[in-house]
Amino acid sequence: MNTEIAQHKSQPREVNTTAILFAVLVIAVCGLVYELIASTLASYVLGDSVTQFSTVIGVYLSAMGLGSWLSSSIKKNVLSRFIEVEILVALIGGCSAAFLFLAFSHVSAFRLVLYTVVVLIGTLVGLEIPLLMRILKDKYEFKDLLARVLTFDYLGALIASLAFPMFVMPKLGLIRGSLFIGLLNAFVALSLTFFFEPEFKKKTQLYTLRTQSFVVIAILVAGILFSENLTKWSEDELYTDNIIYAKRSKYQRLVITQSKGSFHLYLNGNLQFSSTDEHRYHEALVHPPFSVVQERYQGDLNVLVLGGGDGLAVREILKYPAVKTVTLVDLDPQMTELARNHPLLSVQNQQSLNDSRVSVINDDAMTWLARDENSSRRFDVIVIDFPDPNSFSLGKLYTTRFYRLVKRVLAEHGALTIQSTSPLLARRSFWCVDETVSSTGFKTRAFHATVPSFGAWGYVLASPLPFDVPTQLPPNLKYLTPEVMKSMFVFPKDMDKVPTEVNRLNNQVLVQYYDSEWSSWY
Amino acid sequence: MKFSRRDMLVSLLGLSAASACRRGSDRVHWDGEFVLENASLGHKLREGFRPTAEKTVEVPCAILGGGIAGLSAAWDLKRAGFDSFTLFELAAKPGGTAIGGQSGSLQYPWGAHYLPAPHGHQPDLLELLRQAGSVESKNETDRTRYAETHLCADPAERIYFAGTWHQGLYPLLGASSDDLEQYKAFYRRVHSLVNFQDKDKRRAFSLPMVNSSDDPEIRKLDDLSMAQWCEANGFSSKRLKWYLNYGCRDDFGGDLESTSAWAGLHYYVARIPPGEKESSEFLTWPQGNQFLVDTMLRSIPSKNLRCNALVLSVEPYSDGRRASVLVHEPRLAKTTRFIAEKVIFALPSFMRKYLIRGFEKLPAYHPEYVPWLTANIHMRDVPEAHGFPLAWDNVIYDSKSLGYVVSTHQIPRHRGETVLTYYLPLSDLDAKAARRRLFSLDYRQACDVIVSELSRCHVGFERLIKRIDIKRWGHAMVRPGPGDINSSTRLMAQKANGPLHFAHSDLSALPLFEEAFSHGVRAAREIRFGVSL
Repeated sequence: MNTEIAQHKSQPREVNTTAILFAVLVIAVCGLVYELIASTLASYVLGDSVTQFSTVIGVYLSAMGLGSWLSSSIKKNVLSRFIEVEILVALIGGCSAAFLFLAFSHVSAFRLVLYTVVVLIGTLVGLEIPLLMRILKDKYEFKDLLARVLTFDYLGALIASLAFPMFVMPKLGLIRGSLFIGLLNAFVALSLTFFFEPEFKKKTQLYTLRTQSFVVIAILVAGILFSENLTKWSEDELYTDNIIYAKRSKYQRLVITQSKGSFHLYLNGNLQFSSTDEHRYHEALVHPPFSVVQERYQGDLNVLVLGGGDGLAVREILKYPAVKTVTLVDLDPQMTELARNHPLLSVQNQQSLNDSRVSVINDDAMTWLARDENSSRRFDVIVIDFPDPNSFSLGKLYTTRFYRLVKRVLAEHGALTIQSTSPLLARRSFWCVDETVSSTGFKTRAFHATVPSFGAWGYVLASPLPFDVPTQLPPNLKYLTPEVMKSMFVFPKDMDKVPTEVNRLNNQVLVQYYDSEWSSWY
Repeated sequence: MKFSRRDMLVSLLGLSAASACRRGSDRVHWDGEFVLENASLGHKLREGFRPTAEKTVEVPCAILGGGIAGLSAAWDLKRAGFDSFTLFELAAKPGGTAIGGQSGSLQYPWGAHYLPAPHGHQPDLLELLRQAGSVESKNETDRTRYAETHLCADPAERIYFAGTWHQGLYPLLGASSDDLEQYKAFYRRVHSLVNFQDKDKRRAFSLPMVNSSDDPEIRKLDDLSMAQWCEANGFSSKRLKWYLNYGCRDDFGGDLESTSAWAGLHYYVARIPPGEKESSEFLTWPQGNQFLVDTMLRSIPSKNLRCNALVLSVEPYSDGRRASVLVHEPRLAKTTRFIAEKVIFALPSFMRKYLIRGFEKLPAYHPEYVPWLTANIHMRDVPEAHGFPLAWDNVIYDSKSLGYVVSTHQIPRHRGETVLTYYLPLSDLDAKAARRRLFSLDYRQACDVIVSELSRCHVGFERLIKRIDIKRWGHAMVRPGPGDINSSTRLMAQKANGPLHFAHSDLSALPLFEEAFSHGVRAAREIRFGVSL
C-alpha cells in the first residue's frame, strides 16, 4: 500500500474521529427518542399503549428502511445533503410533539397526520447512517468503519432508551423534550459545517447550511422558551374563542374565553356558562324552590348553595329580601376567588360573593354535609349546581347517600333544586336523578329550560312535603315569567320520564347511563 | 436457602424473567418494616420454653385466642349476660387475621377486609351487623337492607390485562367465543347450584357451611380438586381457569390443584341468594374486618381481655373436672396457672399438639394452612394508570398476587393520600416450604416483590410511595383441600372434651369470617347450655 494514501486516510481520523463518532452517537439518541415520543404521545391521546407503541415503532422502522433505500439516489454532495437531512430532522422531529398535540385538538384524521409525521421522521433518520458512512468511507477501512459506526449507533440507542424515561419525560415532558432533542440534531448539523469546512468547495453553500442551522436552532429555542404558551396554544384550539384566563387549580383546569360580546367559563374543557344566556340557566335553577318555600313559609331564609362557585346562582338568590344568609360550599378556592375578583366574572355575578350575607366555604360538599358540626344546621332553600356526573367521583354527588345528607340539613318546609344534565341528550341520566331523589323520601317535580349554549337543560325540584308547580317570581328577571315557569314543568314526548334504577354509592348506575348516553352524541 | 433477587421475583410472582429485571431497587427511598411479628413468641413453645407458674387463679371460663372465633364466643357470652370469662391473646391487640391498622386519619386492613352481605337465616351475624350500624331495615320481615356507606362503593373491581385496566374481574378483551361460552357455561352451573334444594330444603352450599346439603351428589364434589372438576366438566379456557384459580386463592389461599371442588364452588354459589343471578354485595370498611372486631370489643369489657399473653399448655386439673391453663406474659415477666371450669380453645387446630396434654381421646386434627404476605403501601396520592379508573379491588391478571384494595375507597370523595393493601398468598409451594421462604425474605426483597409488580401496571408508582409495612402471616388461612370437607376428623375435632370446647374457622376447613363467627357462637352456647352442640 502506498504510504501517501495511508497517511491521507489516517489524517482526518486524528482530527475528527471523536467528533464524528460523537455525532453518530447523538443522532442515534435523537432517532430513537423521536420514535419514543411519537409512541408515547399516540398512546397518551389515543389510549391502548400496546397497540400505539407497536404500530408507531413498526411504521417508524419501515420508514427508516425506506430512507436507507432512498439514500442510494443521492449521488453527489453527500456531505451537504447529510447536513440538510440533519437540519430537517431537527426541525420536523423537534416540533413533532407540539405539532401532533395541535393536530389532535383540531384534525379529525389524527391518525393519518400521526403516521405521516412518523414516516417523515423515520425516512430522514433512515437516511442518516448510510449517508454518514459514505462520507467516512474514504477515511476508514470498511471493517473499521462498520464496526465503529454501528457501535456508536447501538450505544446511542441504549442511551436514548435510558434517557427517555429518566430524563426526557420526567424533566422536560413531551413537547419540550422533542424540542430539546431537535436542538441536539441542529447542533450536530452546525458542528459538521465547522469540522468539514475544508471539504466545502463553494463557501456560499457552507454559509447557507449554517444559516439554515441557526434558523432552526432559533425556532427550537423559541419553542422551548414559549413552551408554556405552546401548551396553552395547543389547548386554545380546543376552544373556539380567545383564552383570556387559564389556570390549573388543585382540582381542575379553569379557562375563560372571550368573543366579541360575551365570555365563557370552562372547567376541564366543559362549558359551565356563556355570559349571553347564563341568566336562563340560573333563573331556572334558583327561582322555583324559592316559590315553593315562600308559598308556605314567610320567615327569613337561610340558603345553601352546593357547587356554583361562579357566584351566578348567588346573584339570583340575593334578589330575595327575605334571604338572611347564603352559605356557598364549593370545592375549589381558585374558582371562588375568580368569581370574586375577575373583572368580567365579578361584574357578571354582581359581586355576589362579596355580599355580607354570603359566606364561602371551600370544602367538598359531601364531606362538608357529613361533618357532625353541620348536621344540626337547617336551610330553607338548597341549590345544587355540580358538574355533570361524568366520573365515579362526581357520580357520588348524585347518590341516595348524598341526598340523605342533604335532607338532614333541609327544613321540613324547605325546597331544593338540582341541575340534572340534559333530559334530551341524556334522558335516562336525567330521570335517574329524579328517581334517586324521590327514593330518599322527597316529593319531586322535574323541569327543563332552554339554554342555547347547552341545549335543553334539566333540573329536579324537590321538597320533603308535597308542592304544586311554582308560580311566584321576584321582579326584574330576564327569562322567567309565571307562564314560562309553568311551561318548564311540561315535558315533550322525547324528554318525558323513562324508568331508571336508583343511583347508589354501591352501584353508580348514573355514571354508566351518562357515559353511554353522551357517547352516543359525541 | 439463598435466592437471587431474580429467582425470588420469578418464583413469588411468576413474572417472566424479563419483567423481573426491573432496575435494582437498592435505593429504597421509603420507610417501613415488617410489622406485627409475634411468631417468635409462639416459637418459644416449640423450643421447649416451660416456665413454672408463680400464681394460681381460678376463672369460670378461659377463651384461648382472640381471633374472630374467640371474640365471637366472648361477644355471645356477654350478650347472654355471662361476663366472667378471660380471653387470652398472644398479640398486642385482639382481631387475629381480621386486624387493621391506623396511621393519622387513614385506616387500613392487615388481612380479612370484607364480608359478603349475609342473606338467608343468620340471626346472630345480623345482630352483630345491626350493632355495627351496617343494617338499615326497620322491621324484621323486610329483606335486610344494608347501610349504603357500608356496602362496597362502585366501582368494586378492575383487572389489569394486556397493558391496561378493565372493569370487572374477568378479562373480556380479546376473549374468544369459546372463552365466553365456557364462562357462561360455568355460571349456568353455578346458577343451577344456587337454586338446588335437597329433601330437607337445604341449599347446596350455605354460610355457615354446616347448613349446606349433605346430598351425596353435592358432597362428592369434595372428592375432586377444582382442577379435576374443571377437566371433568370440559372447562379448559385459560381465562376461565385463571378466573377460578383467582377465586380459590382469594378466599382460601389455595390454587385449582390444591382446593377441593366443593370449596371452590362454595365460593361462587353460597354468596348468591336463591333465585338470584348476582352475588350479594360486599360489606367493607376502611379498616377491613377490624371494624367488626371493634364492634364486638365495644361489648367486651377490657378487664376480660389479656393481650400479650402466651398460652403454654392446657391440661386436666387434678380435680378431674376443670382444666389448668398455663399462661406466660412476657411483658409482665410472669407466668400464671388459670384453673378454668370451661375452656374455649379458639386457636388454630395445629396448635393442639403443642398445647393440649393429658386429655383422653382427643382427636388429632392438622389441616394445611397457607402463608400470606400482606403489605400496606402508604401513598402520597392515588396511583395513576391507563384504562378503567381505580376501584376497590384492583386485580392483576396472571399474577400470583391478588393485587390490592384501596383503604380509602369507602370514604366518599376522598382525595390525596391513601393506603393500598397488597395481598400475596404463597399458594403454589408446599405450605412448609412456603413458610420458610416467606420468613427468609428480608424487608428489601419483600418490597422488591411488591413494587416491581405494581410498577408494571401504574405510571410513576414508586415516586408516590411514602411507606411500606409488611406483615408475614405464617398460618394465614386454612386450605380446604380435596377431602377436607367430608373429613370425619374435622367433625370430631369440633366436639367438646370435658371442660374443653373448640372454636375456629379451620373446623369448617373454610377460612371465612362467617365460619369463625359461627364456631365462636356455638362454643359459647355449648358453655351456656352445658352441652356439646
